[in-house]
Amino acid sequence: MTTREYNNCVDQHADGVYRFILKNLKDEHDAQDVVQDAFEKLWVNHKKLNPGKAKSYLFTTAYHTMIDHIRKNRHLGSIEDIPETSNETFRDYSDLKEILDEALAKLNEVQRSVVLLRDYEGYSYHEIGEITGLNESQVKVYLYRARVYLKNYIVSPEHVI
Amino acid sequence: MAIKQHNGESNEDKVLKPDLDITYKHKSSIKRSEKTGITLENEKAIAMFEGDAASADTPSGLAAIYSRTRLQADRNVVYPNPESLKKRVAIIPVSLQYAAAAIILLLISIGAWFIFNQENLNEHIQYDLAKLESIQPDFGNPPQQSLSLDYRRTEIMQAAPMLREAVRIERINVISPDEIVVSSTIAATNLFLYTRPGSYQPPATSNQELAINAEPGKKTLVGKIFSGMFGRVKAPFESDNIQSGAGSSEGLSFWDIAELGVKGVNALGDHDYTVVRDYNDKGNVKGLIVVEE
Repeated sequence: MTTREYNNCVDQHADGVYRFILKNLKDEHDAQDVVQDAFEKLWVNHKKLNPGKAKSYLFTTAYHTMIDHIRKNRHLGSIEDIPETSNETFRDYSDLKEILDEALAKLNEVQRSVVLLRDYEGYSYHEIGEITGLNESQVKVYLYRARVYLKNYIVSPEHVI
Repeated sequence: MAIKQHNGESNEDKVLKPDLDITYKHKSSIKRSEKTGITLENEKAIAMFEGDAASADTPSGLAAIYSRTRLQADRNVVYPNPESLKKRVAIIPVSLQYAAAAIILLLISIGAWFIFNQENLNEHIQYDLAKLESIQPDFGNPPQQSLSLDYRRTEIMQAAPMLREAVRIERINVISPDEIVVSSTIAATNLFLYTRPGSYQPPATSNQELAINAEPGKKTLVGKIFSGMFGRVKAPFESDNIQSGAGSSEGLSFWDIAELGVKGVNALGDHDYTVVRDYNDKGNVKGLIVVEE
């Protein structure tokens, strides 16, 4: 990959990687650090990389850096710990996106990442597996369970708009 | 206890039997998938929604609800400063051809400087060197210019990977249509050029090093000149000021040489590099930044 191709990667993928990480970390500065770290690693290896693999490399690097960051800073429950329906106090929601954002934040980091990679970037199960280090079956299980959780969340009485 | 019989009815007729025609029609809504652990009904709906399978018997209402779980990226969220992630092209070119061209022009310039300044070249520092290597770039057919450059990669480079682009010019021969010949005598100046990642400033006590593009996060070009000319090359640069224009009157400086080298790279390699002088708050030049347009 040439310097020019590397800089094109910045234009094409920096926003996507940033959105993906920001949605997980919920902190702009931390997300920026992860994105910067991912691009630094891409630059270090840019001569060995095919430009076609750059996007996958960026998401993979950013994902693993993010997981390290999360595990250093806090513990999250797994999906098995999340009840099928929420017992939260009723509150007002302006739109579906707000409810989905709240539900997404309650998923564990792996499920959240799988859903985001699928919906934001349109990655296949195989590609998501390469980024997250899971096999395709595991990706599918994580995704399906996450979908059920999101569905149950938006149809629960306290979340119906 | 005996059961009393009436109208020929048997005991069996008195027992309630289930109506087998009555069935629970939503078994799939409570059956669980062996793979995912979720109900088969949900699994079918998600499979249809995700494009994994076309499922005609999935309740359309359920599939519609799943379609609402699709997340939409907020395009207003963008990385705040993408330009900070981009890289500028350093003065040391990526290909040997361009590197050779740049070095040749640098040496020609140094030679010119020596001619004008009548510098004594006797001072010479010996280095243990690795094997001799040669470059014979192809400048097209018919060749407009031919050259050969013999150089040695230094032990500095082998010991420290960060200095991997360091070269010591051993011998250089250039033959152009104008019959310009640069003799190997010029190589006695022991010019080293190498790049370092990130910011780098030579030690204040150094009397041999100058650094270009000493900007945080960028590549730094460092020139080392092991001869008595160093002080005279360095002085014009240090006195260069954006207001006074000092330095230009002092003759050729190391930075002038670097600029000539970049112009040579543009001419030979069809590049469009630009050299920008970088000044500090006081208006004094502190380095050169090489950018690719």
